[in-house]
Amino acid sequence: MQQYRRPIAGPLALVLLIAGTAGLLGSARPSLAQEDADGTWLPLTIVYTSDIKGKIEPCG
Amino acid sequence: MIQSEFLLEQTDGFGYDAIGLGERDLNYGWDFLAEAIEKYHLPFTSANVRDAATGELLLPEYLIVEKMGIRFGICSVLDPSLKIVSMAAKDRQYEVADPSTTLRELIPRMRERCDTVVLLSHLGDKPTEALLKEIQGIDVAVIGHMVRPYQRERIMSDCLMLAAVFEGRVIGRADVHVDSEDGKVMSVQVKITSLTDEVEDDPVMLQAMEDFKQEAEERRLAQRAAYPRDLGAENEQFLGNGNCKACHTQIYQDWRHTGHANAYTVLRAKNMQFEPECLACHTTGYRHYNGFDEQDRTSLSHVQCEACHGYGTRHVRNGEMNEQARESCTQCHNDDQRPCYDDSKDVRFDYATSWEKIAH
Repeated sequence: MQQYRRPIAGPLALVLLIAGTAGLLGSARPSLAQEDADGTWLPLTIVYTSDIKGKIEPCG
Repeated sequence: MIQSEFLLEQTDGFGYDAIGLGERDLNYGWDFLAEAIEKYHLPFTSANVRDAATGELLLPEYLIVEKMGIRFGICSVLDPSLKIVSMAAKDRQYEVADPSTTLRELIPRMRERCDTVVLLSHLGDKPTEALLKEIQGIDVAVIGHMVRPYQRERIMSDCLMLAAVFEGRVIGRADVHVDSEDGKVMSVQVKITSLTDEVEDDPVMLQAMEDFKQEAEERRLAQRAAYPRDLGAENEQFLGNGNCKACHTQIYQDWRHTGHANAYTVLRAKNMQFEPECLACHTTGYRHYNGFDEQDRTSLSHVQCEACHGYGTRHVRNGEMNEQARESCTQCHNDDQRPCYDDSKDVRFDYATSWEKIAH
């Protein structure tokens, strides 16, 4: 019966943040230090989310 | 529109490195989005959406972001089958190129300038998988436009795939190690956080939201004429639960103990009553002739009998009643609105189990 439904409009499709997390290589996982024999691996953090769809509060 | 504008404004403070264009980002037209991008410094990108008239890309083809000496090239593609619906008057027409063709040409160029290539894929899960089998050179793919259920992170064709989830209800965090010599992702640890009420709100953002909601409600009330009641049958009436109760006493009592009987209260508690999209599912007959209105039909608050079963006048006149309740359910309990979903447990609306909560 609820027929009034305008299209849900608005942003955002996919959002991404990449952050450096220097200094964690040694402390996080000892096995990584062994695998990274040349010491060229850099720790970073990728934060991501999706389909915000223009809502400041989700339903439900 | 004002909700979208508020959202875009707040996004400026989040510090995102890239935003992949989705089909709904153009719902208010290009001019609206372009103005927001400039005003709020939003890093949108899209490799395959163009102005149909000029053939020009709307947005930067890709972005380069340098972190700790590693150059990340970030591009985004949109599924051409997703219709771009613009509500702006005289908006331009859009052309969405085939993602595979686009990336086959683009990725090699990106690799010449970047160490690590990231794809924001607004294609959904399976199409992204198919794409990654075809296109080499992508190190990380973040998948949007997901239809539930979704898989957690995985590796395919030497590419780390991360799945983002609907409406920002879930934040993904991937702690990776990238080889600074060739930009390859060498390890990953993913944590998915559901943004439930248990997650503490940022006080500044909370205040901004409350201020916005207050303003939006004042604006809506001042513009009630913009939301006329002109849907449904003009010669029929919603009678309200008070009338249903006269003959269906037990059903009415059962209803009172369901979430439906509290739907408008919940909306007001969140201060979201300014949003017509919300009112449509949290009241009875919103925007319909004789339907809910907070000034002269407050008796139609909440999801009452007639919201699912149709006009009371029809029922009284000839016993007619919409018995196909399942269809009524999914008008609101669907992938767009998602009440009764639990993304942390990967639970979608299920008619059989949900019916148990309101059986009558």
